[in-house]
Amino acid sequence: MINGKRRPDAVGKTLAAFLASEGYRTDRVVVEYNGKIPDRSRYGEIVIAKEDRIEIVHFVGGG
Amino acid sequence: MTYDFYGQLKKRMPSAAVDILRMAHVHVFGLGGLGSQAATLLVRCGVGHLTLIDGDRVDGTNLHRQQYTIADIGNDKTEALAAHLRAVHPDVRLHLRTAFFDAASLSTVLAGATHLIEAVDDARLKADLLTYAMKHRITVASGNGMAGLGSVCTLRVRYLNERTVLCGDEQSDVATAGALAAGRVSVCAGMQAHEMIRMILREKGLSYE
Repeated sequence: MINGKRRPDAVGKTLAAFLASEGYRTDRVVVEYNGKIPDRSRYGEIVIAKEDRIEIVHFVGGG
Repeated sequence: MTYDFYGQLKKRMPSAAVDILRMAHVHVFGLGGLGSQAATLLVRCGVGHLTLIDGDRVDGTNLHRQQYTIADIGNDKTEALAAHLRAVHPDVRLHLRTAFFDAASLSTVLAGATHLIEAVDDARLKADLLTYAMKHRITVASGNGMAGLGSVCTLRVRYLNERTVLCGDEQSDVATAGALAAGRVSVCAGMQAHEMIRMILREKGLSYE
C-alpha cells in the first residue's frame, strides 16, 4: 500500500526506482516505510514488498 | 488594569480546552504567509507559549499575504510579529530565534520542541523539517502546496499518523504557479493552526468532531 492505495506496479522495485518513476525528487521527499523513516541513502537498497505500508510526502515550495 | 485575555477567550471557547492550550508550547518555523498567520491564530486561540523562528526581514512584497504592516517593513519578522501578538495577548510567552537554519542545524533550534508548525518556503527544508519532527516524535502540522489562484477546495488535511498532518494541495509549487494569494494561503495556515490545536487537545484527552 502506498499512500493508502494498492500499487502492484511498485512491488519488486526499489524505493529509489519507484520514486523516480513517480517523478519525485528525493531531496524533497519524506518516506515512511512500515512506520520508520529510512535514511535517503538506503532508498536504493529497500525493495518494495506486497505487504509494505508506505507513505510518501513530496514537498513543493511555498510558505 | 491588565487585559483579561483568558477570561474573554473563555466566553467563546470551552474552558477546559483553553486551560490546555494555555500550557502548550508551539514552535513556528517560518514567519511568512503560513507562519505569521498560523502563529496569530494559535495565539488568538490561547496557546500560551510560542517560539518564533525566521531570519528574514519584513519586505513590501510580504504585505499581501502576511500579518505585517507598512510600519514593519525593514524590521526582523520575529520582532515585528511578536509586537502584533502581544497587542492581542500581552502575556503570551515568546522566544524569538532570528536566524536561518538548515538541515544540519535543526537540533539547535528544535531541541526539546514538542509541537511544530512547519511554515518555511523551501521544499527541501520542508522535507528535512518533517523528517526531523517524525524521527523525534514532535507533533507537527506542515504546509505543503498552497500557491496559485486555484480553488481552495483542493486544499486538504492529510494525517500520516495522529501527530503528523499535512495541509495543502501537495501540488502547487510557488515556482511554477507564480502567484500566492492571501485567501488561499490563509486557508492553509488556518488548517495548520486549527489541526494543531486539535492535536494538542486530543493529546490531553479532549476530542472534538
